[in-house]
Amino acid sequence: MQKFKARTSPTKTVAVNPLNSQIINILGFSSIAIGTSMALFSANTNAAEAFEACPTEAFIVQTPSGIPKTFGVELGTGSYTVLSPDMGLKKSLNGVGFSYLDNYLYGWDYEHGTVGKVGEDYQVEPMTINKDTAAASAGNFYVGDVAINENVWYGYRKGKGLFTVPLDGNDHPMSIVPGSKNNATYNVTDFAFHPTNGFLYAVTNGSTGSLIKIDPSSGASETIGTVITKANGSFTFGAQFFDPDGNLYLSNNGDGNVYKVNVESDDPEAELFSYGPSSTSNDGARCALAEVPVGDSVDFGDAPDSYGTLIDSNGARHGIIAGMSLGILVDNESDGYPAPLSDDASDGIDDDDGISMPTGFEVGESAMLIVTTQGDAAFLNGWVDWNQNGEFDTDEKVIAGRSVSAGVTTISIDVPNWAKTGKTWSRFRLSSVADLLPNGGVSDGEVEDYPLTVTETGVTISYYPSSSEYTTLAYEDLYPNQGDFDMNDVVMQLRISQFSKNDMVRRVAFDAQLVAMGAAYHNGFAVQLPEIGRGNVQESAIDWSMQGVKQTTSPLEENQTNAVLVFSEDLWQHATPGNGCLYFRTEPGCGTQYRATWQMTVPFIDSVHVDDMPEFPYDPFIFATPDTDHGLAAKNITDGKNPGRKLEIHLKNKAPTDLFDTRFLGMHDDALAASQGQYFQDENGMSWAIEVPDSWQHPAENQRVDNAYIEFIEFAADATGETKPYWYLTAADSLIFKD
Amino acid sequence: MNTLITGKTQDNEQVTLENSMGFKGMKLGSIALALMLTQLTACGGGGGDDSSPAPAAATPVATTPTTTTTPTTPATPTTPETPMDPETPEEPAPAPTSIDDLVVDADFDLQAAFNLAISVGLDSTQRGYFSLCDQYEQNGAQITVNFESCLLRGALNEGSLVEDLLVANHQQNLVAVVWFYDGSNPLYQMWFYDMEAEEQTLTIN
Repeated sequence: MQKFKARTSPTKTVAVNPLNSQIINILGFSSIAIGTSMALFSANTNAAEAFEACPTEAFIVQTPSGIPKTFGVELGTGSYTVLSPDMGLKKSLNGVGFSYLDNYLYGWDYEHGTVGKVGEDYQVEPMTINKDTAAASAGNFYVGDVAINENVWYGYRKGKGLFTVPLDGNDHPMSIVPGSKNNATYNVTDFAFHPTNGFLYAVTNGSTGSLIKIDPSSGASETIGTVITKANGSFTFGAQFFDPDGNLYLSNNGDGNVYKVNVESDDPEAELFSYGPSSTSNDGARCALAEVPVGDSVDFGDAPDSYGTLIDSNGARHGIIAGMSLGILVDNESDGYPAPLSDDASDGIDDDDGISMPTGFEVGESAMLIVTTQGDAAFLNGWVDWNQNGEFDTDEKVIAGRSVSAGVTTISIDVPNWAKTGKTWSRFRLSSVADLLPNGGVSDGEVEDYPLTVTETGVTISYYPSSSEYTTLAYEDLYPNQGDFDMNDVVMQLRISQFSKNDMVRRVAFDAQLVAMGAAYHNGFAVQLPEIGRGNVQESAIDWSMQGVKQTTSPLEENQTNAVLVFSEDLWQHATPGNGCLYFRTEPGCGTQYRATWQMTVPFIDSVHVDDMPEFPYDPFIFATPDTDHGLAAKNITDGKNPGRKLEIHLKNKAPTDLFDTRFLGMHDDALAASQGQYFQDENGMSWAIEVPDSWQHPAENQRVDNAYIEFIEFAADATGETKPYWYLTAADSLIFKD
Repeated sequence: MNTLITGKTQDNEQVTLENSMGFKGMKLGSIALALMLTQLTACGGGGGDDSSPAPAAATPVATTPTTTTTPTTPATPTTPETPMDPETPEEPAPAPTSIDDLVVDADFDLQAAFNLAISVGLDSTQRGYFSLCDQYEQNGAQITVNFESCLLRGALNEGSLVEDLLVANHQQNLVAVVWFYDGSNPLYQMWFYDMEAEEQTLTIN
């Protein structure tokens, strides 16, 4: 007896000839995948072995041209394999169900007019059954399934009734369920037993599909409600099966689309789950107690999950096949990782390389996209969330089933007049399936999600240090005493965007992230805009979020002459030291990929001329968190109380805000020279904070900056700034912090 | 994180940082040229004002932990305590070797960035979009720009755009792109930091 062995082939490999129900997709370690060119199934007609365990894929038996074939379908992506091109029958096998109790498939054998038993060789073994009178005149069955709590096959035929065939032992009487003939009024092409509650469920066919619940002890049905409607044409759900959570999956014959509906929800509704194999003659079986896995070679997007990114949100996902991708790179994920925690950032491989945006996106104008693809017979679909509602709506489809040849394609899209300005998300999907929704699984291709910025016409955006980089602000927090110069008591990264038209700046935006905190004191972080009056900020229109969560409070600080934006009163609320660590990302072994992030857009009431804007990076500073201890030196200056807002630490020569207590000036190491515009420096001109215009690798705990970066001294010693200008790129490897 | 190809600095103990965009910017050609220029100007002559923004000093300063009172070699280009008088080389004061003996000019804000003045004036009525970006690849005549790594983006106003930018020191090599909407080929212009120039400019006519 030939056994099928699980193929341990590497992921993302091959195969072949695309299209229709003969596609082969090697799905990695979990599935049993045999190609048509390697017919390893047995011709032995002795009792076949049962399937190994409750398998995760769905079995679909199709009879495209008279002879039934078995497909294994990974419901997650709709990828399918031919499990057997031949089942040893000359007519179809229908009403198929998987027996959880004995691990065989059972279905109605049309050739022999009886129940057939199928083992892992996929060959049908007709069983000897004894039909009662009603069964004998019932004819053939295409609706059937095996119960979960008893090893019995149930078959249904409209107008005839519900019939049972016990599968254990040697006696297999086929009997009608008493009273079921009168209840046999519903019109379905398959049904399935719920994993736990003992009932059968089905969705009827037609232009609307209704979910019905059937009592196997009487055949009586109860209509729960309409779960799906088709605009054109009608559904024929030839294959229906469950997962352990009570989700019923429906495969539509005409197009192979797989829908998913939770039968126990108060208002069940079917949604398109994936694109699977299509055929006019479908029947399906599945071990209902097996989870629907994601699979090993699946590509997900990374837009925020409101757009449908995670598997639980039916996120966009593609089975990875070599030779079809956006750009060159594609990598698999076990689930979607919405930005900013995308694997594109954390694993060093950014596979979002298929779409390039050489122009901006201006409201009411056209914009260009450069699309690079691999693969023949591929179609591109794209969406942009123009109205920024967190979803890809139907009217936001910018590219619809466009056929693209392998290589580079330049596409012009229109930015609608109703598009909102600001940052939003876009999604692009490449596949051999032409018409795709923004979510759901498909068996090939790739999805890539990109953030983009929409502006009004004629707006120029300048970025510091660039649209993808950050400048690093590193602070010592023992002011007015100098500290240990490891420059990592607080390390923030900042990116500034300035939006102007005809040299008049109308708004600025910040992207910030917390990189390290090597200090026990609690510090807050804020940015002052010197020379920009607080009154010139349209406070109600400030748009900001922390970790992607929109904030409703105003960050514009009160009692300030200038505009001061407070990102956080206490940065320790946004970070936790690692296990066994005192601080956040300064001690060896205390690393993490996690970063607390902030995004903030600050609009002005009256535009400010570029020449009147403060120079980048404006004036970012830290301050002592109110009501927390910040050392005795500070307390002694502020009347024996915790200093709170009165203590600020700015970059060298940036003046403090109105809330700073000027009694700090000249105290301890502070070399008072405010009259000359000199602030926050000691008598040797050294500061408490430095700015490094790069994603700087900060010194590890207690490692002085001049040891970790030996060129710093020479740079600092030359006031022209022309000596060792890249000092911040050359580190002593053992003295900097590493995750 | 930004990747800097190791060709830019010659010191040991280099750190190469992964660029999270996965985009490789191979700009060794321009850096090699910059290094050559450096070798010519860094050797000989005292005085602090003679130093160019070189990637590496020709004669590394000795970094012994204990400061000595004997003068260091006159070839050292960084001696901020000496008066700016190249004609009469004096005994330069000992160069600082750590923060402990470092004195920073009170007005020096330690910022490692420079100004770049951009001026685009195309004699063109067609609509064009300008981008100044940091990362790009050049394979012969084919240029691929990473439009997610830009410092400036904006539509041209009747063919022109004027802007002043603050650029990080290590962004020595940028590409300016003008993209048209009518299918015409885009216009590219590379920009390299000019060590000789008083001010950095980028002009497109």
